Amino acid sequence: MESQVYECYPGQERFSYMFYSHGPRGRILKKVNFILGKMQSAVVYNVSFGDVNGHTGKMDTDVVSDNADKNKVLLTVARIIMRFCRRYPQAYVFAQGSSAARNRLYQMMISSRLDEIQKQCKIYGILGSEIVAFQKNVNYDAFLMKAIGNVSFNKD
Amino acid sequence: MKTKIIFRKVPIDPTRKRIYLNDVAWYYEDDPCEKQKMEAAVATLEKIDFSKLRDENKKTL
Repeated sequence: MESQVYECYPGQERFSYMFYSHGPRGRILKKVNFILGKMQSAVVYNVSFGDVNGHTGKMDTDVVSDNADKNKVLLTVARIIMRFCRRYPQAYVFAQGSSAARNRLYQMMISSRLDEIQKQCKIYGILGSEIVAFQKNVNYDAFLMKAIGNVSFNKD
Repeated sequence: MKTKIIFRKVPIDPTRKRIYLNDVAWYYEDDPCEKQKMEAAVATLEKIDFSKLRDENKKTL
């Protein structure tokens, strides 16, 4: 996965990470944000990502960059999430696309790398109020990830 | 040679107000899009019973 991802950097805010997408539309700054969503019964971080507006510094999560590097961007975000899971092994990371189409896109990406992801993380699909083990070819409402219990943090 | 990137140049307005949906989940007041997403995420998380996962994780440790 490493050669197919962008180098990422810590963002200015806590639990935020940044990287640049490079493509026909130029260099676009991307941001991945983890915000606590729940503390009771489980520690759950909600992850969101999008383009950073160069003028306001705000993140636009609905933008379609069309920079011909969709897979590389998604893999970079996946790597950031997996690192976060390893760094905070007690926490769950909750990911929900802004639309059904985006959820399907995430689902396809997870499916294509499922073996690799499952070496380090447990991954679940959310259907309504149910959490189930992730399976290929099922449309989920959202996704939940957590580091496998005995995986230690690799400082890289 | 790699170029060192300093992200402090990205402007962050300290006057932006955070609105909390529960003890921990928040969004910026001036960001209606994030509000909508965070509310949806919190609503979904509130419905989920994490106790089964906790038990399952205990077994694997």
